[in-house]
Amino acid sequence: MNRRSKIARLSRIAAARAAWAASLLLGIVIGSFVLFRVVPGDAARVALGQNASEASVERLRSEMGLDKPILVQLADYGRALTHGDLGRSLIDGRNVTGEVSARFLVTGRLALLSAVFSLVLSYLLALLAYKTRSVWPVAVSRIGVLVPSYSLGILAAILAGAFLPWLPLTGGGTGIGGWAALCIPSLVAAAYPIALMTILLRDAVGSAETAPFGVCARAYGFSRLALFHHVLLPPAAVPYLAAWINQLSAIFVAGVVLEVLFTIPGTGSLLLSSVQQRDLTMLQGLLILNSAFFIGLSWFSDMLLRSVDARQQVHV
Amino acid sequence: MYSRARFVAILLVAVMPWSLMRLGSTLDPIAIDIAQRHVAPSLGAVFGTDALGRDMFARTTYAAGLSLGVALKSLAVSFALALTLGGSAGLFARRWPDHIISWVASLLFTLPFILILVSLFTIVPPNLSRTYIAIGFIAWAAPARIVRSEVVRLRREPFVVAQRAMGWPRGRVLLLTIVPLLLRPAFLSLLLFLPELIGIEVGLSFFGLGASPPTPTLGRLIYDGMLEFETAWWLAIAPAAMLALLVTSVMSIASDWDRSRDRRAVT
Repeated sequence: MNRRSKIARLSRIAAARAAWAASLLLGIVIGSFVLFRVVPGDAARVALGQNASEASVERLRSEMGLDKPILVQLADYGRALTHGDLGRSLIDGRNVTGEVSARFLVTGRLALLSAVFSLVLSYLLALLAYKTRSVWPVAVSRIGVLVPSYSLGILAAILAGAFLPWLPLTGGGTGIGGWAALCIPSLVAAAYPIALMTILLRDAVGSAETAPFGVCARAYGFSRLALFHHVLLPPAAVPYLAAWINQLSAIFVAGVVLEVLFTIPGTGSLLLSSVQQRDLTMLQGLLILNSAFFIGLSWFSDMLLRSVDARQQVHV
Repeated sequence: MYSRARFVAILLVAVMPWSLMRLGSTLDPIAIDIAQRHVAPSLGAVFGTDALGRDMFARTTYAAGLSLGVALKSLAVSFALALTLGGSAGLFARRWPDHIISWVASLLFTLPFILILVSLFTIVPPNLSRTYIAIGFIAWAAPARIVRSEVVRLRREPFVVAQRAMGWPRGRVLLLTIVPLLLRPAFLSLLLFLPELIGIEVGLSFFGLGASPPTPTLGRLIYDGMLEFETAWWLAIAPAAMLALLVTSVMSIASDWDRSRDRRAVT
């Protein structure tokens, strides 16, 4: 297949997948609208609780537009959404879009750091397992599956407090201190992906080693290290990277819990406070914006893996 | 030969929640005895006691049974959904039932499930088993994808085509040939999710979605124990060891299955 038709085909797939992603996002918007506006029956009463006075509930009802017909409400919500406006917090009137994105940047930094850790460490562990022909690197990586992330988090906090007293453990600004504070939680959030990815890479490398091309390359007399990087790793790269990107949402879930534990002002703490205060518009904004990110990410990773994976480009 | 061992293993895992909970509740996991606070492990209390003098052995066994029980319940929900929905998507591949099912599956697969759960239970009052059933309704997406692609592959296999050519009705081929071959991959991918299910419960209880306080669950016990790690180290050790034991046995069942499949593929 020549280069131009390859690009044409990729962009056609990209457009189709983008339409699919957009339909998912639309589903989320409508689904969250139904969940937060229609299912509760009276969203204003749910938000304010049983003890609120009828007058204040009535005020909130007209403020949220709940007195209008449901389809008009949906249309209003959709129109505001096209301008990036997700409404205001029911509790203190903060702008939902601004608040959610600010918190998302903190969680995003944690997830980014965690993703880097999981890629680098699982690669190193698989390399070690291959180089030393021993089982302990995989056994070490299994900690991530055996111990839940929050207890690993508390353990790490205790150990860091004892051995690394200079390392800040809470907060999460943009300076050196902020990144340093994210180190421990992101390492902990990476534990589960590291376990899965190390095992995956080890298995893939192991089966490539006994495949005819692996045996052949070894017969040429390549060093073990060269064999690993030039012969065994490339065929494993696509499933390995796909697993890495799929794990981002697991990293996010672990990150949300660890943020509560380490009092990092990210999405997790916002989620917690919105649940406690029954801030429905904030929750809806959290759901929609984070979903948009993950849907976009999955579209991007799909396209990325398609463009690097030669097997996907053979037209059958 | 290996099928009998597997049968026993599954039976053990299935009976364990019930028997552990019975054992725990005869020993009374919530009886408070203030005189016996923070007793280190000894012959009287094998796993020690907690800050309220509750026996950790009773609490750990009860919690292990409860956590495993609800986790298995949610696995059962996902397993049934994965088979039926993934199977029908594969059967009607590239037609509208497939499009609808795949759409819902990719929605559930793409979103971090904690967001869906927390949003859902802000509106609906949560409790432990309802939370796990909800997880079951979310977790089917990944195995359903595997089931779908297996059905698509199997329908083109020579032995399936041969059965159709011999005049077997479609439903009979489906039930007797295709479905038995789906059970293993679907169950395997769910089994690997079980450890995470047991562990996630404490994460959920931060958001008020876990068990309510007097009820011990494995996750709760580990979390509470870790907070008191410096004064009473034994509190976290026993439930953590129990969790590791459960997870290791589940993983070994899963990897055993994987190996037996490989062996069959080679011979």
